[in-house]
Amino acid sequence: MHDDNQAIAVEGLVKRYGDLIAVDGISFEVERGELFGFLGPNGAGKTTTVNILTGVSLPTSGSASIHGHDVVKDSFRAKESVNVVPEVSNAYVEYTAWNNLMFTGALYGVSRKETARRAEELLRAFDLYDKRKVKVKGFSQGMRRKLVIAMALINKPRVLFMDEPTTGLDVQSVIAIREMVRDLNREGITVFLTTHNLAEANILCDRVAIINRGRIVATDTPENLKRAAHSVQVVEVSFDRADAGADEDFAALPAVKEATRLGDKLRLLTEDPSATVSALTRYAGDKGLKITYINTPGPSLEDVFIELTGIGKPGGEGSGG
Amino acid sequence: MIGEALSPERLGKEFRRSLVIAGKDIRIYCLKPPVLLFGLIFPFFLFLSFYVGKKGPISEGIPGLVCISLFFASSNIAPAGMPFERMTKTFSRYLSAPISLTWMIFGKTLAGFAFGVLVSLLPLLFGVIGYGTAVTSPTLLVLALLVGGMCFSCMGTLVASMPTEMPGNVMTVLNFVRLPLLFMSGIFVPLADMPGWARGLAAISPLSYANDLLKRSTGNTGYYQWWLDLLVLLLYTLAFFTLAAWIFNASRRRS
Repeated sequence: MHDDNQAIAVEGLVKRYGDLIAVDGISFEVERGELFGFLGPNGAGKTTTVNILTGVSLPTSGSASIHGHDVVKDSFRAKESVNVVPEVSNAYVEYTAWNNLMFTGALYGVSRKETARRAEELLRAFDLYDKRKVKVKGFSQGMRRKLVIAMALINKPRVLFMDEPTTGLDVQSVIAIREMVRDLNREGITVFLTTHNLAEANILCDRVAIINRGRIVATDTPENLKRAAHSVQVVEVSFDRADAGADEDFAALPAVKEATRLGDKLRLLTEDPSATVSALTRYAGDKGLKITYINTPGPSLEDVFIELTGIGKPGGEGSGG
Repeated sequence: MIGEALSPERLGKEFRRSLVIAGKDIRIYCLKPPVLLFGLIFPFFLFLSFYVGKKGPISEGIPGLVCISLFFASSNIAPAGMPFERMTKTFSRYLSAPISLTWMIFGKTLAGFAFGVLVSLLPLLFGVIGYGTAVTSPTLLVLALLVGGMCFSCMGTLVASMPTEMPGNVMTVLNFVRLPLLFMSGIFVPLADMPGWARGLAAISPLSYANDLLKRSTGNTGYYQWWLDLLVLLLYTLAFFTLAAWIFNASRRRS
């Protein structure tokens, strides 16, 4: 039974390539107007899931629907209210920015007049209006990315899939695109954001699902996920001398599971922040060091991710794939 | 949902979107080097190389030139475009857009068809204006261009259904099919002058039937019945398109 508040509903979705299971029976829902993050390392099944939801690929089994329309059996209807920003900026390089938008509008059944009006509005919003008559082959990476996002908005989609929208971009473009994503979501568009950038998911998403090896290992708000990671707490400390002590010394302190150097700071994963802070104070006294900064910020989404997926842990799996 | 897919409103939407795809393909791919080389230049020089030194009037060869142009140009657009679109990931734009795979393929096929028919009009005008080629049956001529163009374009779409990102691979396969067909279809040697085994081979080539129709339409004697020419071309069109759609669907299932 379709819930009117549901934008996306996925039930037991499986995608196999021979013996390889890329997506292994995942289920989740995305509410209307939500900014939903789909997190996972490379090869976890994120893009495969997006490809199935957007009709690029077909599932082996299971079901998925968008606004109540099955993506396989009723794909035409499902796709009418959707658009996608794929991982690769796939605008037609032989076409101008303007022609790309006009073509996309026509392909989605938007009238020529409305497409032209919207194309102008989007090109101005994305600071590409002056380049509207330039062929895309002359565009920078950032400009292509912005154009592809504009193309995805030409039909005013109710659900927007964004697959790694900021990958490979310079800092300025990343900031601009993140701001655009927030604005689009504020306008009521449901955004399904696929990313392996945890910081990005943390600052943008209402809820996130973490997928690893084709299976969803957690779904919740970023803050709830951090709170749920009881075994992971963080103490950050900085001394007046940058070369104070070796990482092994700090890793051997009471309750510390792992010590990582972040510039002039040390980041200690601990099971007992209180015991660790006391030990650090003693350590500083013994070594004649002065503590210039100390903080217990709680675990980041990255810590939760490592805890849940095992990626990056000593003895855990690598982060590639 | 099958009923909805066949509703006039839905069919209208899908048809309009397939025209959008066809229009885009014509604008983007007509001037691509492989299209110009294999669609225009190659047929023209191939024809010249066979007719230079021949004793008969050149106007007799015009139906053959029209047929070669139609054959090469119609079958060229999809194979030149689709691998490139897979490589640049623009192909996935169609799959995520509200248009069914069948109508998307139809749009791609229409582009080849339109390009082929337009290109074939050039040698026809060249023959009519320059060498006095007479069009004795305009109806057969139009049917030959329309049905032949669609048939060859579907053949190109079928070859383009190969799931590869390398345009060169598709062009190689396409020419591997096209060149033997060219020499066994009665274009350079009339079917009536061929030995029995060669006529048997010619009977399996769709090009033989298109060439036969074009010959008839310009006052020459045909080898097959005109209705048989049309029927065989239509059957080939249906077979090529159905097979192409099946392969595209299977590729999507595997992708």
